[in-house]
Amino acid sequence: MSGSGELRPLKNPAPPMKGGMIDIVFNGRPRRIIGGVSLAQALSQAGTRVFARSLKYRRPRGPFCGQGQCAGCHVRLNGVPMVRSCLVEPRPGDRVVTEAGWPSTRYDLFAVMDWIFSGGMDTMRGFNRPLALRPAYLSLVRKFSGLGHLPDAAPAALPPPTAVAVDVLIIGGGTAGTAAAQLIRRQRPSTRLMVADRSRGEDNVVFLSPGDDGQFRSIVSSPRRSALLVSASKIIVATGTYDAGLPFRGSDLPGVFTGDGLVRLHSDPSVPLFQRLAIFGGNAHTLSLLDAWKERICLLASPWELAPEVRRRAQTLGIPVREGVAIASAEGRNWIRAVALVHRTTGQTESFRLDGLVLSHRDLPQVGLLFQAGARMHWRNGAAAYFPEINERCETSVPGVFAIGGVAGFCTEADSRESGERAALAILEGDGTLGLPIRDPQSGPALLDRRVHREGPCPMLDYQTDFLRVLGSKKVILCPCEDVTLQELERVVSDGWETSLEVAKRLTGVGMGLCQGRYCMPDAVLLLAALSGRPPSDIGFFTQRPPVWPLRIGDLAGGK
Amino acid sequence: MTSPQRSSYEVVIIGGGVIGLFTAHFLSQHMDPGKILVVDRGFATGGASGRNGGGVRQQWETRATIRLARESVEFYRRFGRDFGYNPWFRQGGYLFLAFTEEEVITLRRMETGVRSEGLPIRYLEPSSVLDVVPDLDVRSVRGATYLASDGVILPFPVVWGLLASLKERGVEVLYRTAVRAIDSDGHQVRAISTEGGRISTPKVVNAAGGWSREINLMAGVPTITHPTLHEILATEPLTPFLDPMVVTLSRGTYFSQTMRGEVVGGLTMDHSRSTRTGLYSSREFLVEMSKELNRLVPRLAEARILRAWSGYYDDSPDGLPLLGEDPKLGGFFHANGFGGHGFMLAPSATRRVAQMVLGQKTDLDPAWISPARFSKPGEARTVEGLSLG
Repeated sequence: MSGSGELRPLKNPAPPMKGGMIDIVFNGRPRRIIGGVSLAQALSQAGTRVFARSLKYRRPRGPFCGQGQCAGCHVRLNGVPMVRSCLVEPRPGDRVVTEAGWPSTRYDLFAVMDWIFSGGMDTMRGFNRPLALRPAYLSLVRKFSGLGHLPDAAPAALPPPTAVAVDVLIIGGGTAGTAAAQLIRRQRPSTRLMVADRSRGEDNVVFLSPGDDGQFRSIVSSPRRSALLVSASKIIVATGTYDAGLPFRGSDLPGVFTGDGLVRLHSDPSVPLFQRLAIFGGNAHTLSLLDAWKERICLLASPWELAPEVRRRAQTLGIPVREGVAIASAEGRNWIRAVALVHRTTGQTESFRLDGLVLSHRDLPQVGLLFQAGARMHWRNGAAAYFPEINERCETSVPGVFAIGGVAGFCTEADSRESGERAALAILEGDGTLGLPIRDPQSGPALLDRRVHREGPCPMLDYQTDFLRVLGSKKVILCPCEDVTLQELERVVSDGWETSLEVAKRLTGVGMGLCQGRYCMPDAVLLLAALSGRPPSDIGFFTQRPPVWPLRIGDLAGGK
Repeated sequence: MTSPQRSSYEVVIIGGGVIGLFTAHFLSQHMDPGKILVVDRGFATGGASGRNGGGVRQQWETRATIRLARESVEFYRRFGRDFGYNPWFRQGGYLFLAFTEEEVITLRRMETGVRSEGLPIRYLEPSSVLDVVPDLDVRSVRGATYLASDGVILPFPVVWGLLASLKERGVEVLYRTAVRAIDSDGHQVRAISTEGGRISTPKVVNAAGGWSREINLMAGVPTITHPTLHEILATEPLTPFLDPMVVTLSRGTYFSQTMRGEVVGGLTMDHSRSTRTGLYSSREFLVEMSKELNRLVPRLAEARILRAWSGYYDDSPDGLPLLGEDPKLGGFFHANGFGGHGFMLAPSATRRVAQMVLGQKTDLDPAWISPARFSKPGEARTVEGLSLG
């Protein structure tokens, strides 16, 4: 369904292993790991499964998204807490510490909390009485707070942020962003153009806001230097999409990955990390996953009918296929080892043993910066996500801010490219008439019509409605960053609170964690809709707060 | 938009934040709860009650503020037990930092006042400041005051607890329902018009916080308060290292650590010349606040900002709230102008507002708190010098 246009290759798969080994210090002991790959990949291949523990229930956490936006793989690296190990390459002599848990992150005695509170704990209404125990509750809960200790030391000197003025800032260097950049460079080489692409590990635009002077203000961070404070007259947002998460019992176990997460983390099937992988869903990444992992895939399951070419490929490879199923639960202690599927119409259940589960059922637009820039957004039932409203020039409701490619709902390579070229031409020609030398003007509305699933049915809402029928009383972690359970969301509705996402956020904490709602908000909207009987578009949204990715204080603090 | 159940109420409170809800709470103890209506055009916690840093302090210059704050501290300490919702009120103290001799004098003066109220405030030399916050850079600190019973509260559960309790008592609270007009005969409030219909009422309480000015305009009374945009940020959750709320006198920079471990803080920026409207976060704030955090706790340089947001303060000219009946318009009561300190003063201030609405005497000095204090321009007024942060 969503993203079921043409199949695109991933932008930046993890590099194949170069084979060189390096020595690091891991939790105080020497360890030899692979160099030339991400620290998350290297540690995983050296046998590390639990990287961190969750805040409330001390549940195990491991790599999940592979792109620095979940709360799974953070470690203390050389005295700096909460470094996303999927975003850094290890260097010889690195000191790596997993900070959570006692006596160790892997064997954490406090994980008993998960068992004691198997139905969830109510931090909103609990721990109140008797009054005399209040100080004890406070100090106990405080002991468990935080995900890492204060950094070891302050850096010696901080270089000040650099101010940069450009004409056009393109955010994202995928198909659409590149098409826009090429056209602008070709047509008007004098344009001061900046293309910022975070997938290369630098130039990450974390802040975007209109200024008083008609220029847009942004903050661009990179791991190597202090921030760039960029002012730009025009903004092209081409931030693309990412693979969604999905709540079910055990969905937060290590060994569960998003599709793009797995490709970024583990590109080399020759490494015996997984023997039995299951893929859930048939979105843009599924074909390449099937081809890469072939005989190690034990199951291709999907919430709905798969595209014929995907089903055929699986059958050719001898992979069992299940369609029209929901994931009821996953089992395992520190790593996934089995998954239970339930057929959505017959209710039949089926269990599979496995050692890896990949969620590839739908992709979501990376819209945080558009929300922040104040662009008008609207809910699309088909894709079950918010997209920017754009015109045929791909301009949003904020003049000067354009949205192209996947983030604007364009699925195919050709449409993405065309959307980029349209935005570029609109900028090159100023605000005058729209003469498109490349395509005829009539194709503008046609292009807009080809964006993902405008109105109509919402398959993902139907899926969540089915899932709620098999939901038991054992807690399902809806928000892995903050350990918010689906049952807490149920209580928002059953207790009679306003069933808006804004209220649910402030009642439960959903969306207030490290991912800023990327992996819980889309499902929270659907679940609130399913539980309350209101249409998803009535549930509303909360805006991702700036910065859209965590920003080092030292990146901004240098200078006078 | 929702329509009220009745066509007339004895009291209509405009604003469903902590001030409005607490006012309704205290009123409902002394009158028929079914005759109180709270209306709000947004959603619960959507205004400053869901956007503040949760500081609750008793270190003030004006004696009455110290007393109100002290009562609030006691109230919040028991809130969880009494309302069933846990605001995790952690009394880790407030640490005020002085960087100049002038600021030292201000702190010394404040210290004397607070101590005379019987609170165990301490004046700290820079070296002793490190006993309270070991990671602070005290090289340019000249002195500090510290009061251990000040603290930080999680705002949301207070709002939820109040709403749950009001619902149980039968007080009607309508969100997503804007007030359109306030009708009077020139001397006395008669009715209000809302999106959900017209309601006759002899008494209206303006508890609209950042929107109190708009409500005053509707009522046709002088506008004394005005909203200012304030920004705030939170870092990624860190293992506890910071017990008190730290406040600098010079810029009103404040930061503390929440029960989740996030360092939450802000400082006052001047957005008065900005043409932007609505709530927003500015790049300038992120830069300035990063500099301040790095200056005060250098080890935070390697920590990361997770998110920033903003909200409105409802400022008054003298840094003190407006509490009580309007001098010109009978039945129109003010409970606004808290200047960013509404949450911490809410329980005690609104108890007095409720008394005034019910026509009872309060222990507050009208010269200090009454909206009428601004009607006599020449007169010297008390000013709260520590209305910062």
